[in-house]
Amino acid sequence: MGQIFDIRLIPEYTVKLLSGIPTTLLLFILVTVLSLILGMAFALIKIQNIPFLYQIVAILISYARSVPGIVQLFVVFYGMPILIEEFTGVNATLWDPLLFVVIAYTFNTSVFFCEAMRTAIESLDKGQFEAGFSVGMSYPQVFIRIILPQAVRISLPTLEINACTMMKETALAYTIGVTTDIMGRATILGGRSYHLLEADISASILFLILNFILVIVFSRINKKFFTFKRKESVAV
Amino acid sequence: MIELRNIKKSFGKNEVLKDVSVSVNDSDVVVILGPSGSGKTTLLRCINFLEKADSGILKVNRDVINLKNAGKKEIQDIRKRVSFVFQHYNLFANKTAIENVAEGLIVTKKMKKTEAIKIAAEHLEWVGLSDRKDFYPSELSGGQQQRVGIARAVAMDPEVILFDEPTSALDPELVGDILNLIKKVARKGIAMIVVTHEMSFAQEVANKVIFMDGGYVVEEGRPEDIFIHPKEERTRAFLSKIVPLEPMYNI
Ligand SMILES: Nc1ncnc2c1ncn2[C@@H]1O[C@H](COP(=O)(O)OP(=O)(O)OP(=O)(O)O)[C@@H](O)[C@H]1O
Ligand SMILES: [Mg+2]
Repeated sequence: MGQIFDIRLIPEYTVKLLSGIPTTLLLFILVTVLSLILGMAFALIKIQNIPFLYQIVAILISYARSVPGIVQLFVVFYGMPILIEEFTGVNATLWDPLLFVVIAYTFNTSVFFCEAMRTAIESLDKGQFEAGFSVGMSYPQVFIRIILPQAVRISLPTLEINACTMMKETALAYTIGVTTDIMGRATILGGRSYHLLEADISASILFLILNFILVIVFSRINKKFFTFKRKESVAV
Repeated sequence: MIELRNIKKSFGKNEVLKDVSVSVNDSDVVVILGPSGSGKTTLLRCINFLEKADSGILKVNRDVINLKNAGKKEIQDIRKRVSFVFQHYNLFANKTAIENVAEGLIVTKKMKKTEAIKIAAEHLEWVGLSDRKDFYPSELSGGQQQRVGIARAVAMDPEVILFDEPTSALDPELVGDILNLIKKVARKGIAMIVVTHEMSFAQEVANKVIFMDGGYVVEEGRPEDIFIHPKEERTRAFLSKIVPLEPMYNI
Protein backbone atom coordinates (compact mmCIF):
# COMPACT_ATOMS: atom_id res chain seq x y z
CA MET A 1 0.00 0.00 0.00
CA GLY A 2 2.25 2.71 -1.35
CA GLN A 3 2.00 6.23 -0.07
CA ILE A 4 1.45 9.12 -2.43
CA PHE A 5 4.65 10.21 -4.16
CA ASP A 6 6.20 12.98 -2.07
CA ILE A 7 8.75 15.03 -3.93
CA ARG A 8 9.81 16.82 -0.74
CA LEU A 9 11.36 13.63 0.53
CA ILE A 10 13.93 13.57 -2.23
CA PRO A 11 16.35 16.20 -0.85
CA GLU A 12 16.11 14.62 2.58
CA TYR A 13 16.75 11.12 1.25
CA THR A 14 19.57 12.32 -0.95
CA VAL A 15 21.36 13.72 2.09
CA LYS A 16 20.72 10.51 4.02
CA LEU A 17 22.08 8.38 1.21
CA LEU A 18 25.38 10.31 1.26
CA SER A 19 26.35 7.90 4.02
CA GLY A 20 26.37 5.15 1.39
CA ILE A 21 29.03 6.84 -0.70
CA PRO A 22 32.08 5.57 1.22
CA THR A 23 31.12 1.93 0.65
CA THR A 24 30.22 2.48 -2.99
CA LEU A 25 33.48 4.33 -3.58
CA LEU A 26 35.50 1.73 -1.68
CA LEU A 27 33.96 -1.00 -3.82
CA PHE A 28 34.63 0.99 -6.94
CA ILE A 29 38.26 1.74 -6.13
CA LEU A 30 39.09 -1.77 -4.93
CA VAL A 31 37.52 -3.40 -7.97
CA THR A 32 39.16 -0.94 -10.37
CA VAL A 33 42.65 -1.42 -8.97
CA LEU A 34 42.38 -5.20 -8.71
CA SER A 35 40.87 -5.40 -12.19
CA LEU A 36 43.68 -3.36 -13.68
CA ILE A 37 46.22 -5.80 -12.27
CA LEU A 38 44.29 -8.93 -13.12
CA GLY A 39 43.21 -7.57 -16.51
CA MET A 40 46.82 -6.84 -17.38
CA ALA A 41 47.81 -10.35 -16.40
CA PHE A 42 44.99 -11.79 -18.52
CA ALA A 43 46.04 -9.61 -21.45
CA LEU A 44 49.63 -10.82 -21.17
CA ILE A 45 48.48 -14.43 -21.04
CA LYS A 46 46.49 -13.91 -24.22
CA ILE A 47 49.21 -12.00 -26.04
CA GLN A 48 51.92 -14.44 -25.07
CA ASN A 49 49.56 -17.27 -25.89
CA ILE A 50 50.58 -19.16 -22.75
CA PRO A 51 49.19 -22.69 -23.08
CA PHE A 52 46.55 -23.82 -20.57
CA LEU A 53 46.28 -20.36 -18.98
CA TYR A 54 45.19 -19.05 -22.35
CA GLN A 55 42.27 -21.48 -22.45
CA ILE A 56 41.25 -20.60 -18.91
CA VAL A 57 41.23 -16.90 -19.70
CA ALA A 58 39.26 -17.53 -22.88
CA ILE A 59 36.59 -19.40 -20.89
CA LEU A 60 36.47 -16.67 -18.25
CA ILE A 61 36.03 -14.06 -20.96
CA SER A 62 33.11 -15.76 -22.61
CA TYR A 63 31.54 -16.44 -19.19
CA ALA A 64 31.83 -12.82 -18.10
CA ARG A 65 30.51 -11.61 -21.42
CA SER A 66 27.49 -13.84 -21.70
CA VAL A 67 26.26 -14.36 -18.15
CA PRO A 68 24.19 -11.56 -16.56
CA GLY A 69 25.97 -9.65 -13.81
CA ILE A 70 23.46 -10.59 -11.15
CA VAL A 71 23.91 -14.28 -11.94
CA GLN A 72 27.67 -13.91 -11.69
CA LEU A 73 27.22 -12.26 -8.31
CA PHE A 74 25.00 -15.08 -7.03
CA VAL A 75 27.35 -17.75 -8.33
CA VAL A 76 30.27 -16.18 -6.48
CA PHE A 77 28.29 -15.40 -3.33
CA TYR A 78 26.69 -18.81 -2.95
CA GLY A 79 29.30 -20.91 -4.74
CA MET A 80 32.60 -19.70 -3.32
CA PRO A 81 31.87 -20.51 0.34
CA ILE A 82 31.14 -24.09 -0.71
CA LEU A 83 34.43 -24.31 -2.58
CA ILE A 84 36.32 -22.68 0.27
CA GLU A 85 34.80 -25.08 2.77
CA GLU A 86 35.56 -28.03 0.49
CA PHE A 87 39.25 -27.16 0.07
CA THR A 88 40.19 -25.50 3.35
CA GLY A 89 37.47 -26.47 5.78
CA VAL A 90 36.90 -22.82 6.59
CA ASN A 91 33.30 -21.70 6.94
CA ALA A 92 32.98 -18.66 4.71
CA THR A 93 29.23 -18.25 4.77
CA LEU A 94 29.44 -15.56 7.42
CA TRP A 95 32.13 -13.50 5.76
CA ASP A 96 31.25 -9.95 4.87
CA PRO A 97 29.21 -10.07 1.64
CA LEU A 98 31.22 -7.05 0.45
CA LEU A 99 34.13 -9.41 -0.02
CA PHE A 100 32.14 -11.48 -2.49
CA VAL A 101 30.97 -8.37 -4.27
CA VAL A 102 34.59 -7.34 -4.74
CA ILE A 103 35.50 -10.80 -6.02
CA ALA A 104 32.56 -11.07 -8.41
CA TYR A 105 33.03 -7.61 -9.87
CA THR A 106 36.79 -7.85 -10.08
CA PHE A 107 36.45 -11.02 -12.05
CA ASN A 108 33.90 -9.48 -14.38
CA THR A 109 35.60 -6.11 -14.81
CA SER A 110 39.08 -7.53 -15.28
CA VAL A 111 37.83 -9.48 -18.25
CA PHE A 112 36.67 -6.28 -19.92
CA PHE A 113 39.85 -4.45 -18.94
CA CYS A 114 41.83 -7.35 -20.36
CA GLU A 115 40.21 -7.06 -23.75
CA ALA A 116 40.62 -3.28 -23.82
CA MET A 117 44.32 -3.49 -22.96
CA ARG A 118 45.03 -6.45 -25.20
CA THR A 119 43.65 -4.73 -28.27
CA ALA A 120 45.54 -1.55 -27.31
CA ILE A 121 48.82 -3.43 -26.98
CA GLU A 122 48.27 -5.25 -30.24
CA SER A 123 47.56 -1.97 -31.99
CA LEU A 124 50.99 -0.61 -31.03
CA ASP A 125 53.74 -0.69 -33.64
CA LYS A 126 56.06 -3.61 -32.91
CA GLY A 127 58.87 -1.14 -33.47
CA GLN A 128 58.15 0.10 -29.94
CA PHE A 129 59.17 -3.29 -28.55
CA GLU A 130 62.11 -3.59 -30.92
CA ALA A 131 63.49 -0.17 -30.04
CA GLY A 132 63.48 -1.22 -26.40
CA PHE A 133 65.17 -4.53 -27.14
CA SER A 134 67.73 -2.78 -29.32
CA VAL A 135 69.05 -0.82 -26.35
CA GLY A 136 69.28 -3.99 -24.29
CA MET A 137 66.04 -3.82 -22.31
CA SER A 138 64.35 -7.05 -21.27
CA TYR A 139 60.76 -7.90 -22.19
CA PRO A 140 59.38 -6.93 -18.76
CA GLN A 141 61.33 -3.67 -18.81
CA VAL A 142 60.06 -2.75 -22.26
CA PHE A 143 56.58 -3.81 -21.31
CA ILE A 144 56.36 -1.74 -18.15
CA ARG A 145 58.24 1.36 -19.26
CA ILE A 146 57.27 1.66 -22.91
CA ILE A 147 54.30 -0.48 -23.84
CA LEU A 148 52.06 -0.22 -20.80
CA PRO A 149 51.84 3.59 -20.68
CA GLN A 150 50.94 3.70 -24.37
CA ALA A 151 48.46 0.86 -24.03
CA VAL A 152 46.75 2.57 -21.09
CA ARG A 153 46.52 5.77 -23.08
CA ILE A 154 44.86 4.01 -25.99
CA SER A 155 42.54 1.92 -23.83
CA LEU A 156 41.61 4.70 -21.40
CA PRO A 157 38.27 5.56 -23.03
CA THR A 158 37.23 1.90 -22.96
CA LEU A 159 38.51 1.42 -19.42
CA GLU A 160 36.49 4.48 -18.43
CA ILE A 161 33.26 3.10 -19.90
CA ASN A 162 33.82 -0.27 -18.24
CA ALA A 163 34.63 1.36 -14.91
CA CYS A 164 31.51 3.54 -15.06
CA THR A 165 29.38 0.51 -15.86
CA MET A 166 30.94 -1.41 -13.02
CA MET A 167 30.27 1.39 -10.53
CA LYS A 168 26.57 1.46 -11.21
CA GLU A 169 26.33 -2.32 -11.38
CA THR A 170 27.71 -2.56 -7.84
CA ALA A 171 24.23 -1.41 -6.82
CA LEU A 172 23.21 -5.05 -7.19
CA ALA A 173 25.17 -5.76 -4.00
CA TYR A 174 22.00 -5.19 -1.98
CA THR A 175 20.64 -8.45 -3.41
CA ILE A 176 23.16 -10.40 -1.35
CA GLY A 177 22.62 -8.36 1.77
CA VAL A 178 25.01 -5.44 1.49
CA THR A 179 23.35 -2.55 3.32
CA THR A 180 26.04 0.11 3.59
CA ASP A 181 26.37 1.26 -0.02
CA ILE A 182 24.12 3.80 -1.73
CA MET A 183 21.63 1.25 -3.03
CA GLY A 184 21.65 -0.77 0.17
CA ARG A 185 20.77 2.34 2.15
CA ALA A 186 18.15 3.36 -0.39
CA THR A 187 16.49 -0.04 -0.18
CA ILE A 188 16.29 0.15 3.59
CA LEU A 189 15.16 3.75 3.63
CA GLY A 190 12.50 3.25 0.98
CA GLY A 191 11.38 -0.07 2.41
CA ARG A 192 10.75 1.33 5.86
CA SER A 193 8.80 4.37 4.73
CA TYR A 194 7.18 2.79 1.67
CA HIS A 195 8.61 5.73 -0.31
CA LEU A 196 10.75 3.46 -2.44
CA LEU A 197 10.52 5.58 -5.57
CA GLU A 198 11.75 8.69 -3.75
CA ALA A 199 14.69 6.70 -2.40
CA ASP A 200 15.48 5.39 -5.88
CA ILE A 201 15.38 8.89 -7.33
CA SER A 202 17.72 10.09 -4.59
CA ALA A 203 20.06 7.22 -5.40
CA SER A 204 19.85 8.19 -9.07
CA ILE A 205 20.98 11.70 -8.23
CA LEU A 206 23.98 10.44 -6.30
CA PHE A 207 24.99 8.01 -9.08
CA LEU A 208 24.71 10.82 -11.62
CA ILE A 209 27.00 13.01 -9.53
CA LEU A 210 29.48 10.20 -8.94
CA ASN A 211 29.58 9.40 -12.62
CA PHE A 212 30.12 13.04 -13.45
CA ILE A 213 33.06 13.22 -11.04
CA LEU A 214 34.47 10.02 -12.48
CA VAL A 215 34.46 11.42 -15.99
CA ILE A 216 36.34 14.49 -14.79
CA VAL A 217 38.88 12.38 -12.91
CA PHE A 218 39.52 10.23 -15.97
CA SER A 219 40.05 13.21 -18.20
CA ARG A 220 42.47 14.74 -15.66
CA ILE A 221 44.41 11.48 -15.50
CA ASN A 222 44.52 11.32 -19.26
CA LYS A 223 45.77 14.89 -19.62
CA LYS A 224 48.31 14.64 -16.85
CA PHE A 225 49.89 11.28 -17.50
CA PHE A 226 48.99 9.92 -20.90
CA THR A 227 48.97 12.65 -23.50
CA PHE A 228 52.64 12.43 -24.48
CA LYS A 229 52.70 16.00 -25.66
CA ARG A 230 54.26 19.07 -24.10
CA LYS A 231 51.98 21.15 -21.88
CA GLU A 232 52.15 24.20 -24.13
CA SER A 233 51.24 22.24 -27.24
CA VAL A 234 48.29 20.61 -25.47
CA ALA A 235 46.96 24.00 -24.36
CA VAL A 236 46.92 25.34 -27.91
CA MET B 1 85.93 -6.21 -34.57
CA ILE B 2 82.66 -7.78 -35.65
CA GLU B 3 82.41 -10.94 -37.64
CA LEU B 4 79.38 -12.81 -38.93
CA ARG B 5 79.93 -16.31 -40.12
CA ASN B 6 77.66 -18.55 -42.17
CA ILE B 7 74.38 -16.94 -41.25
CA LYS B 8 71.32 -18.78 -42.44
CA LYS B 9 67.75 -17.68 -42.02
CA SER B 10 64.49 -18.86 -43.54
CA PHE B 11 60.94 -17.69 -43.07
CA GLY B 12 59.00 -20.89 -43.62
CA LYS B 13 60.02 -22.11 -47.07
CA ASN B 14 61.49 -18.75 -48.00
CA GLU B 15 65.27 -19.08 -47.62
CA VAL B 16 66.28 -15.47 -47.17
CA LEU B 17 69.87 -15.81 -46.00
CA LYS B 18 71.47 -18.93 -47.44
CA ASP B 19 75.00 -18.45 -46.20
CA VAL B 20 76.19 -14.97 -45.39
CA SER B 21 79.50 -13.99 -43.84
CA VAL B 22 80.61 -10.44 -43.19
CA SER B 23 83.49 -8.99 -41.27
CA VAL B 24 83.77 -5.46 -39.96
CA ASN B 25 87.00 -4.06 -38.58
CA ASP B 26 87.15 -1.40 -35.90
CA SER B 27 85.94 1.94 -37.25
CA ASP B 28 84.97 0.36 -40.57
CA VAL B 29 81.99 1.71 -42.44
CA VAL B 30 80.44 -1.18 -44.30
CA VAL B 31 77.64 -0.44 -46.74
CA ILE B 32 75.30 -3.22 -47.78
CA LEU B 33 73.57 -2.97 -51.14
CA GLY B 34 71.13 -5.28 -52.77
CA PRO B 35 67.76 -5.50 -54.42
CA SER B 36 64.58 -5.36 -52.43
CA GLY B 37 63.91 -8.62 -50.64
CA SER B 38 67.53 -9.75 -50.76
CA GLY B 39 67.63 -10.02 -46.96
CA LYS B 40 69.55 -6.90 -45.96
CA THR B 41 67.17 -5.98 -43.18
CA THR B 42 66.95 -9.58 -42.07
CA LEU B 43 70.74 -9.77 -41.81
CA LEU B 44 70.93 -6.66 -39.60
CA ARG B 45 68.06 -7.92 -37.45
CA CYS B 46 69.79 -11.25 -36.93
CA ILE B 47 72.88 -9.46 -35.62
CA ASN B 48 71.07 -7.99 -32.64
CA PHE B 49 68.56 -10.82 -32.28
CA LEU B 50 65.46 -8.98 -33.39
CA GLU B 51 65.29 -12.02 -35.63
CA LYS B 52 66.60 -15.40 -34.60
CA ALA B 53 68.96 -16.85 -37.22
CA ASP B 54 68.65 -20.56 -38.01
CA SER B 55 72.40 -20.89 -37.69
CA GLY B 56 75.52 -18.78 -37.71
CA ILE B 57 78.22 -17.36 -35.50
CA LEU B 58 78.63 -13.79 -34.33
CA LYS B 59 82.00 -12.62 -33.11
CA VAL B 60 82.16 -9.30 -31.29
CA ASN B 61 85.78 -8.67 -30.39
CA ARG B 62 86.73 -11.64 -28.21
CA ASP B 63 83.23 -12.96 -27.67
CA VAL B 64 81.86 -15.70 -29.85
CA ILE B 65 78.11 -16.17 -29.87
CA ASN B 66 76.03 -18.80 -31.53
CA LEU B 67 73.17 -16.90 -33.13
CA LYS B 68 70.77 -19.79 -32.92
CA ASN B 69 70.95 -20.72 -29.28
CA ALA B 70 72.31 -17.68 -27.47
CA GLY B 71 70.86 -17.25 -23.99
CA LYS B 72 68.93 -14.23 -22.69
CA LYS B 73 71.99 -12.81 -20.92
CA GLU B 74 74.18 -13.12 -24.01
CA ILE B 75 71.52 -11.52 -26.18
CA GLN B 76 71.09 -8.55 -23.84
CA ASP B 77 74.84 -8.16 -23.59
CA ILE B 78 75.18 -8.05 -27.38
CA ARG B 79 72.35 -5.58 -27.69
CA LYS B 80 74.09 -3.23 -25.28
CA ARG B 81 77.13 -3.31 -27.52
CA VAL B 82 75.34 -3.18 -30.88
CA SER B 83 73.04 -0.22 -31.53
CA PHE B 84 70.33 -0.12 -34.15
CA VAL B 85 69.00 2.83 -36.12
CA PHE B 86 65.63 2.04 -37.64
CA GLN B 87 64.16 2.98 -40.96
CA HIS B 88 61.04 4.25 -39.23
CA TYR B 89 62.94 5.74 -36.26
CA ASN B 90 60.96 3.78 -33.67
CA LEU B 91 61.30 6.40 -30.98
CA PHE B 92 59.52 5.59 -27.73
CA ALA B 93 56.25 7.44 -28.24
CA ASN B 94 55.69 7.98 -24.51
CA LYS B 95 59.10 9.57 -23.92
CA THR B 96 60.51 12.98 -24.82
CA ALA B 97 63.52 13.28 -27.08
CA ILE B 98 65.93 13.44 -24.17
CA GLU B 99 64.20 10.57 -22.37
CA ASN B 100 64.46 8.49 -25.53
CA VAL B 101 68.22 8.90 -25.46
CA ALA B 102 68.50 8.41 -21.70
CA GLU B 103 66.25 5.35 -21.47
CA GLY B 104 68.84 2.73 -22.43
CA LEU B 105 71.47 4.39 -20.26
CA ILE B 106 69.21 4.27 -17.23
CA VAL B 107 67.70 0.83 -17.73
CA THR B 108 70.48 -1.24 -19.23
CA LYS B 109 73.62 0.70 -18.41
CA LYS B 110 72.29 1.29 -14.88
CA MET B 111 73.33 4.93 -14.82
CA LYS B 112 71.93 7.40 -12.32
CA LYS B 113 69.12 9.36 -13.86
CA THR B 114 70.89 12.72 -13.58
CA GLU B 115 74.01 11.32 -15.22
CA ALA B 116 72.00 9.69 -18.01
CA ILE B 117 70.11 12.93 -18.68
CA LYS B 118 73.38 14.83 -18.83
CA ILE B 119 74.84 12.42 -21.37
CA ALA B 120 71.59 12.43 -23.33
CA ALA B 121 71.63 16.23 -23.44
CA GLU B 122 75.19 16.19 -24.78
CA HIS B 123 74.20 13.79 -27.51
CA LEU B 124 71.12 15.77 -28.47
CA GLU B 125 73.33 18.81 -28.74
CA TRP B 126 75.72 16.81 -30.87
CA VAL B 127 72.94 15.97 -33.33
CA GLY B 128 71.73 19.59 -33.25
CA LEU B 129 68.50 19.12 -31.33
CA SER B 130 69.13 20.85 -28.00
CA ASP B 131 66.12 23.07 -28.51
CA ARG B 132 63.84 20.08 -29.01
CA LYS B 133 64.90 17.98 -26.06
CA ASP B 134 61.54 18.12 -24.28
CA PHE B 135 59.49 17.42 -27.39
CA TYR B 136 57.68 14.13 -27.80
CA PRO B 137 58.19 12.15 -31.03
CA SER B 138 54.74 13.13 -32.29
CA GLU B 139 55.91 16.75 -32.12
CA LEU B 140 59.06 16.17 -34.19
CA SER B 141 59.59 16.00 -37.94
CA GLY B 142 60.89 12.80 -39.53
CA GLY B 143 64.38 14.24 -39.82
CA GLN B 144 64.36 15.35 -36.19
CA GLN B 145 63.11 11.94 -35.09
CA GLN B 146 65.91 10.23 -36.94
CA ARG B 147 68.42 12.56 -35.29
CA VAL B 148 67.08 11.44 -31.93
CA GLY B 149 67.29 7.84 -33.15
CA ILE B 150 70.95 8.34 -34.02
CA ALA B 151 71.64 10.12 -30.72
CA ARG B 152 70.02 7.20 -28.89
CA ALA B 153 72.22 4.72 -30.75
CA VAL B 154 75.46 6.67 -30.26
CA ALA B 155 74.79 7.45 -26.59
CA MET B 156 74.91 3.74 -25.79
CA ASP B 157 78.61 3.94 -26.70
CA PRO B 158 78.34 0.79 -28.84
CA GLU B 159 81.03 -1.17 -30.62
CA VAL B 160 79.03 -1.09 -33.81
CA ILE B 161 75.90 0.69 -35.05
CA LEU B 162 73.55 -0.93 -37.53
CA PHE B 163 71.64 1.44 -39.81
CA ASP B 164 68.72 0.02 -41.76
CA GLU B 165 67.89 2.45 -44.57
CA PRO B 166 68.07 5.38 -42.17
CA THR B 167 67.02 7.96 -44.76
CA SER B 168 64.52 6.12 -46.90
CA ALA B 169 61.46 7.28 -44.96
CA LEU B 170 62.54 10.92 -45.10
CA ASP B 171 61.55 13.76 -47.37
CA PRO B 172 64.24 14.16 -50.04
CA GLU B 173 65.40 17.53 -48.77
CA LEU B 174 66.18 16.05 -45.34
CA VAL B 175 68.18 13.09 -46.60
CA GLY B 176 71.42 15.01 -47.02
CA ASP B 177 71.32 16.31 -43.45
CA ILE B 178 70.94 12.87 -41.99
CA LEU B 179 73.65 11.43 -44.22
CA ASN B 180 75.96 14.19 -43.02
CA LEU B 181 75.12 13.28 -39.47
CA ILE B 182 75.92 9.62 -40.16
CA LYS B 183 79.24 10.71 -41.61
CA LYS B 184 79.86 12.56 -38.36
CA VAL B 185 79.21 9.29 -36.51
CA ALA B 186 81.69 7.55 -38.79
CA ARG B 187 84.31 10.18 -38.00
CA LYS B 188 83.93 9.35 -34.32
CA GLY B 189 85.46 6.01 -35.25
CA ILE B 190 82.45 3.87 -34.39
CA ALA B 191 82.18 0.85 -36.67
CA MET B 192 78.97 0.69 -38.62
CA ILE B 193 77.01 -1.37 -41.05
CA VAL B 194 74.71 0.72 -43.21
CA VAL B 195 72.00 -0.61 -45.48
CA THR B 196 71.24 2.16 -47.92
CA HIS B 197 70.40 2.96 -51.49
CA GLU B 198 72.33 6.23 -51.32
CA MET B 199 75.19 5.32 -53.62
CA SER B 200 77.04 8.60 -53.34
CA PHE B 201 77.10 8.18 -49.59
CA ALA B 202 78.50 4.68 -50.03
CA GLN B 203 81.18 5.92 -52.39
CA GLU B 204 82.23 8.69 -50.11
CA VAL B 205 82.08 7.11 -46.67
CA ALA B 206 82.31 3.34 -46.95
CA ASN B 207 85.56 1.50 -46.81
CA LYS B 208 83.79 -1.68 -47.74
CA VAL B 209 80.77 -2.29 -49.93
CA ILE B 210 78.88 -5.55 -49.89
CA PHE B 211 76.45 -6.53 -52.60
CA MET B 212 73.86 -9.11 -51.53
CA ASP B 213 71.49 -11.02 -53.72
CA GLY B 214 69.68 -14.33 -53.64
CA GLY B 215 70.66 -15.06 -50.04
CA TYR B 216 74.40 -14.71 -50.60
CA VAL B 217 77.07 -12.04 -50.61
CA VAL B 218 77.64 -11.78 -54.35
CA GLU B 219 80.57 -9.43 -54.21
CA GLU B 220 82.41 -7.28 -51.72
CA GLY B 221 85.26 -4.84 -51.89
CA ARG B 222 86.36 -1.25 -51.71
CA PRO B 223 83.74 1.17 -53.05
CA GLU B 224 85.88 2.23 -56.00
CA ASP B 225 86.22 -1.42 -57.05
CA ILE B 226 82.56 -2.31 -56.62
CA PHE B 227 81.21 0.82 -58.27
CA ILE B 228 83.69 1.20 -61.10
CA HIS B 229 84.89 -2.32 -61.79
CA PRO B 230 82.31 -4.75 -60.48
CA LYS B 231 83.37 -8.30 -61.20
CA GLU B 232 80.00 -9.95 -61.09
CA GLU B 233 77.37 -9.52 -63.73
CA ARG B 234 74.64 -9.33 -61.12
CA THR B 235 76.35 -6.43 -59.36
CA ARG B 236 76.76 -4.61 -62.63
CA ALA B 237 73.12 -5.12 -63.53
CA PHE B 238 71.98 -3.88 -60.11
CA LEU B 239 74.20 -0.81 -60.16
CA SER B 240 73.24 0.18 -63.67
CA LYS B 241 69.63 0.23 -62.56
CA ILE B 242 70.22 2.51 -59.62
CA VAL B 243 73.03 5.00 -60.05
CA PRO B 244 74.59 7.58 -62.11
CA LEU B 245 78.16 6.73 -61.17
CA GLU B 246 79.58 10.19 -60.79
CA PRO B 247 79.63 11.37 -57.21
CA MET B 248 76.49 13.32 -56.88
CA TYR B 249 75.34 15.23 -53.89
CA ASN B 250 72.15 17.10 -53.57
CA ILE B 251 72.45 18.58 -50.15
N1 LIG C 1 58.97 -11.50 -40.32
C1 LIG C 1 58.96 -12.05 -41.56
N2 LIG C 1 58.15 -13.10 -41.83
C2 LIG C 1 58.15 -13.66 -43.04
N3 LIG C 1 58.91 -13.27 -44.06
C3 LIG C 1 59.74 -12.23 -43.86
C4 LIG C 1 59.80 -11.57 -42.60
N4 LIG C 1 60.71 -10.57 -42.69
C5 LIG C 1 61.19 -10.62 -43.95
N5 LIG C 1 60.62 -11.61 -44.66
C6 LIG C 1 60.92 -11.96 -46.06
O1 LIG C 1 62.31 -12.07 -46.17
C7 LIG C 1 62.74 -11.53 -47.40
C8 LIG C 1 63.84 -10.52 -47.17
O2 LIG C 1 63.29 -9.40 -46.51
P1 LIG C 1 64.17 -8.18 -46.03
O3 LIG C 1 63.28 -7.23 -45.38
O4 LIG C 1 65.33 -8.67 -45.25
O5 LIG C 1 64.69 -7.61 -47.42
P2 LIG C 1 65.51 -6.29 -47.72
O6 LIG C 1 66.73 -6.69 -48.46
O7 LIG C 1 65.71 -5.51 -46.47
O8 LIG C 1 64.53 -5.52 -48.71
P3 LIG C 1 64.23 -3.95 -48.83
O9 LIG C 1 65.35 -3.36 -49.65
O10 LIG C 1 62.94 -3.89 -49.57
O11 LIG C 1 64.15 -3.38 -47.47
C9 LIG C 1 61.52 -11.00 -48.10
O12 LIG C 1 61.12 -11.97 -49.05
C10 LIG C 1 60.50 -10.89 -47.00
O13 LIG C 1 59.23 -11.14 -47.51
MG1 LIG D 1 65.00 -3.66 -45.72
